[in-house]
Amino acid sequence: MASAGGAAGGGRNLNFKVVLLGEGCVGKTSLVLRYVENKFNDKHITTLQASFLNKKLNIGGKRVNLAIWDTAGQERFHALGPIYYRDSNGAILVYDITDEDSFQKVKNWVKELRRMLGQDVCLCIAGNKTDLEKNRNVTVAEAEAYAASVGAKHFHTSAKMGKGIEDLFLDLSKSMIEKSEEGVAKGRPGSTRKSQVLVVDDSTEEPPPKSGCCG
Amino acid sequence: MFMSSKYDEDVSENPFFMKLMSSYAELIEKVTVAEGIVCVPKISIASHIAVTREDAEDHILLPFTEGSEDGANEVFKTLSGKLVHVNKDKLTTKSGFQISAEISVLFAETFHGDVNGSYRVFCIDGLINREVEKDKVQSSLKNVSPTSYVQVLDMLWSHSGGQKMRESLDKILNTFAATYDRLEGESLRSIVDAANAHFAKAMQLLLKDSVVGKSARYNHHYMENLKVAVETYMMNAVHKHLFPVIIATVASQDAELNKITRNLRDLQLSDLGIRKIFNENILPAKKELSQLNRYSTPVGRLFCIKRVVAALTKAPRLFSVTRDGTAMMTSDDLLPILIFLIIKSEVPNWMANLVYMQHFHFAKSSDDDEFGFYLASIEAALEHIKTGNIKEDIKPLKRDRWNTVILTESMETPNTPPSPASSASTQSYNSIIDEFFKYVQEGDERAVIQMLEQPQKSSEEITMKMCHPLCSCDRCDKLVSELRTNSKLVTAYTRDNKGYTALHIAAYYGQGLLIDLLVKNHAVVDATDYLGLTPLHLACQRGYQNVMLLLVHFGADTTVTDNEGNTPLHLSCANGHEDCVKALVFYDAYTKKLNINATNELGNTPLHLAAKWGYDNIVKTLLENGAGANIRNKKQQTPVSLAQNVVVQRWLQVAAEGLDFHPISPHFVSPKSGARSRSSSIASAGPSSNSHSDSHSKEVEAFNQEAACFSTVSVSLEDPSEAERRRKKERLFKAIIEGDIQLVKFYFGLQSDSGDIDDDDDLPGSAVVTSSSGMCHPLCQCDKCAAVQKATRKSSGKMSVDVKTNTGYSPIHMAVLHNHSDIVELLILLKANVSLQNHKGMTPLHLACCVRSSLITDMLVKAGAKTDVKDMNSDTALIIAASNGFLNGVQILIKGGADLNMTNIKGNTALHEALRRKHSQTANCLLAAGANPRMKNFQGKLPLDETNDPVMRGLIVAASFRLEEETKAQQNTNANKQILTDFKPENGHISIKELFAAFEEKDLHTLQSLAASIRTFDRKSKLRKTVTHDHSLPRLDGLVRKHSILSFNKNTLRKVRSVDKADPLHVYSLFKSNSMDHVVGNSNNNNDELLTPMGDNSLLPIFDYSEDMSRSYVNLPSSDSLENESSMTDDQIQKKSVETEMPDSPSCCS
Repeated sequence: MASAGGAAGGGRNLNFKVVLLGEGCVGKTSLVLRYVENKFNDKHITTLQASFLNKKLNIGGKRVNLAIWDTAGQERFHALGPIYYRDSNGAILVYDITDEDSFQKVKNWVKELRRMLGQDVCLCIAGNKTDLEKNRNVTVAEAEAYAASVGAKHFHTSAKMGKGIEDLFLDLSKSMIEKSEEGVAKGRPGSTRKSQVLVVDDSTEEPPPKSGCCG
Repeated sequence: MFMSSKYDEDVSENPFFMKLMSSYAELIEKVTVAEGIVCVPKISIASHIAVTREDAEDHILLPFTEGSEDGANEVFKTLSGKLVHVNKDKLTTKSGFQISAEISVLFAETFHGDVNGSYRVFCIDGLINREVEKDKVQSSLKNVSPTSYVQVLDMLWSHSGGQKMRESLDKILNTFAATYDRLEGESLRSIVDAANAHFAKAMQLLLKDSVVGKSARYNHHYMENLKVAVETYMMNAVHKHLFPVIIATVASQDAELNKITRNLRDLQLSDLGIRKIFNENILPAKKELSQLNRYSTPVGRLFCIKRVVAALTKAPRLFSVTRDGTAMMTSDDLLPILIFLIIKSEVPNWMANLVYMQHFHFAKSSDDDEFGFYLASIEAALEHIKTGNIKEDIKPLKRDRWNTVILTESMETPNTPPSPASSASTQSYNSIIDEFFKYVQEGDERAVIQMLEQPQKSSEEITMKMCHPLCSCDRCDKLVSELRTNSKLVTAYTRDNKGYTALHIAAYYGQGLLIDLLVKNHAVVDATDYLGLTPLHLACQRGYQNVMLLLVHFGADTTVTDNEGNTPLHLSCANGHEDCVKALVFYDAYTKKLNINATNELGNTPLHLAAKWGYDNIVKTLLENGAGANIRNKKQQTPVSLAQNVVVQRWLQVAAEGLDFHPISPHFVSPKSGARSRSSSIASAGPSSNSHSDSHSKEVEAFNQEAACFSTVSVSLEDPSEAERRRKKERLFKAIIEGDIQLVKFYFGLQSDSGDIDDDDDLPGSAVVTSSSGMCHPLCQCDKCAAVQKATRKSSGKMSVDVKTNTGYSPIHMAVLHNHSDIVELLILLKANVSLQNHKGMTPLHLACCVRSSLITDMLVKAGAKTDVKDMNSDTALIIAASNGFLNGVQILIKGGADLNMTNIKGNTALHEALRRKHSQTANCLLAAGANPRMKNFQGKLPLDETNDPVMRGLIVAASFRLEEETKAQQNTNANKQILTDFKPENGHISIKELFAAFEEKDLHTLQSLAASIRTFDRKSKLRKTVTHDHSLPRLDGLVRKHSILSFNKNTLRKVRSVDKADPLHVYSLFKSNSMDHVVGNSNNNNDELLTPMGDNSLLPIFDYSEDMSRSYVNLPSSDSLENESSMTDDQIQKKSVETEMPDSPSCCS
């Protein structure tokens, strides 16, 4: 289980769980693959396990470990969403700028996430496939206005060209750091994220000797 | 082998990196601008070398795009101008370096500074530009997670004193292990907590050791690894005890899941939309997954899952030329594949595994994020399976697949005319079959009939066209031959390219209505498809009990096996269709064909399958019906060893040891006819079965033969008929306990319509036994069976209503104990002995008072149950009722004439008990009924001593006084007794004696209660008629009647009486009454006046007591007079009844 917010990591190591949500063919996986492996669809990729990836960052001296969870985009699996996004610190909602429907899906996801995880989760909305600008069906203004209205950042990305992705993850990481520090400051790290999801986070069950000795 | 754990360190604390930052900051700036890579040797190497400028330049890589890219590698150039290739997690030094070396990248970290721009840091396992002296590098296990149990042992116990510590840890774990067995039935939470506490204890113990403790304190990784090691060690030790508890906790969920997965056996990869590219990886992954239960620890299982995913991601051989990244496995692919693998896996305890991995992995390892993801994926997959939506994805009988082979066993079929669907004449034969089967699948009865009747119709049409039905002229011949060669018609024999007939399809889709139709159209009931499956197989596999019963009714063979040796019973057991299993087994009570221990090709019996998948109810049913728990399959597994669920395991063990379900050796049970059939026992019971049909006598023969063979090889301790009877008895009692009155009736051989039980002599003894072979199921209500049931009466013939369990419970005891009043009623009707005592001496009445059921108590009392039977504690039913404060019961028993003053083993009367338990109402009732308040129990206590309640005490004292006076007055009562006999209410609710005593003692209490009881009784059961009538009639009517009575009296009454009674005394009485009529006519409500003329003083006191009394008394006319005067008001009745009583009164006067 992803431990929440890195509060246990002694301040320097932060573990964040980031979940990727979006319709089937919007390019969620390409996005993350480009980010982590710096690869896109090129002919040399054989089979790649792209559903779970790790990325280590060092932001201003803070070590951040991103666990990036890909989710199944098929509509029939929609109901399984909570199993994936529970306990996540951040969510990236991807839509295809050429596909109006996929943007509607993003709106649905945002609603659901806010309802289930409240304000604890950092949201980023990514309009992918900017390389197909000429086929754009979702206007920039609309997308950005919507993102602002739900407290999410909006990014224009192209997995193919490798554009905007680094910024997307960096920005998300920074806001997650902020959020976790807020939590620490309030003395209740991640406390609001409980009980909405039934499964108990294992990280809270660690035996006492550990916390005494790992300092 | 997969690297179990990833190396990690904080680079900013690495001396090499620190040196770079401090001494060569300008180089770092360069790399930031160019988005290059800084290579940093891992800390264990870095801390042993001095960093030179050359080192720094060699370890900083900048992207290099010149030169030919050789595909997979990214090319970089060091600051010193040397080339390095980067491929995934390997660095290869190329031109510029002295030697070409490969250095693995342990991890990469992207550094974002305060300003824009970033660079990556590669932590590498060595130096790029030179060899590292091995001896300087202390590589120890401490920083690598243990990957095998041996490593765990090595890590934990290799140091000095380790063995001793191990022993003490083992000791702790052993005691823990024992506690898990007791956790069964606890919530999951508490099991997790218990295990976690044990883990904490184990860690504590280890860290007490100075060596371990010290290393752990200074080395974070060591600590992490230590935890993994301890967890592995501990889980390995307690797994045997812990996991079964987890299985038991989620057993029902697992069974539910198994039922779903078993029923999805037809699932294809394409049904889930899994891309073909992964097909070849599925098999290895499946193999890997099948090992899951072999790993004892949660971590082991997590790694197993990880290997499954790895197997899935392996580069497919056939796709060396990949198309645009299609081989990228995203969650879109992973999830369906996992769903597929889980369904196809033979793992019967997925939920338990999920829980085990989720909640019992205490130690964190660096893989945890990844594990978390896999677990979530598995959980999501299980969740999705559980929704049952997958069923809709399967199209096992896709129309488009049927287009090649067609088998027809065509009838003498005819003609060209189009089949019902409009354009049929142009359709190919295949599409006609498809269409026909589609109608069958959808249950479109009319369309199916139409298509089936087509041959008939067309042949008629042809006949019409012919010169003469027998003509053979050229034209007619041509017509006939056309008709013969036309293949565009379907029959019930038509098959598709899987060998399915229409009946198969109907069975597969549960179209019960069509079964009947198809069979009437000569469909072959036992037709097999290419896999040897009959329609019955399909119905059992899919769980359509109605179809199954119909098929069996039409004579489908229940013992037929498919190509894998599975009988229908196997299939319904494997798929968890409890209703089908039960129906098959029950049906077999008649046919005795079914071999409950049939083995399939793998040697599995139905019990094996049911046990493995954890269907507890099916296991129970099978065991109860003689399934052998000791049979081994070809892998030498018994059902016990396959069972996951502890409860199921226990049952099986019990059955295997022959303790409970029945002690019959498998050898006996396995022969075709089984040991359980009803007719066998009838046969063995002797001549009473003479009236059986032929089939029965055959069975008798078969039974005798078997009995003969049995006697020679038997190892059983029990006579078969005895066993038979016992099993039947068990079933009967079970039905009673469950309150299944229909089944109870059945076992007693009664029809299920309760209506005709009481008015004919349909009692078990005399019930007609008829052949039942036509029935689907003993209780089946399908059309056919209903007809059979009406026509014939089934009977077990031999089941006595007073059969007893070995604790002496008769059916009526059992029914009372479980408060099934309907069954009690039935049993009373069946003339069950209502006063039987069980081994504790309790009658049904005792039990009724225990369960506090007034309805049943009343029923039993009315059925003549003895009220004063004492049980082993000398308690009577009344004492039990009183001590339970069961007021209604006490009242009923008192009315039923129970002795109020019986004492139990302590000498307590009912009054004692009621008072002791503070049931003051009950005590009051007992006192009012005349319970003796002066009885002492064996401790010498009076009832008075049992209570502190002042009200109660007062009542008791009052009752005592009353009793005293009663005894005094006893002598004077003889004369009055006779008179009072006439006033005795007809239904005898109050004994004369009580009345008498009450009258004599002028006891207001008793009188009131008596009066009340009389009043309530009358109002409810008899007077109601009068009252309702009265409301519907105008008031005037009553007045008219009153007048007519008054005017009539003088003239008519005399005549009647004189005619009726010739007794001389009556003449006198008539004379007297005649004179009295005047009085009656003049006075309305004055009782005294009314009665005075009678001149009998002895009657006076009676009416002195209260108006209540008198009225209630006269409200009790005989039923005859009520019928005549049913529309009279109370007052009228008063008068009338006095009148009607007059003729009798002289007899007492005289």
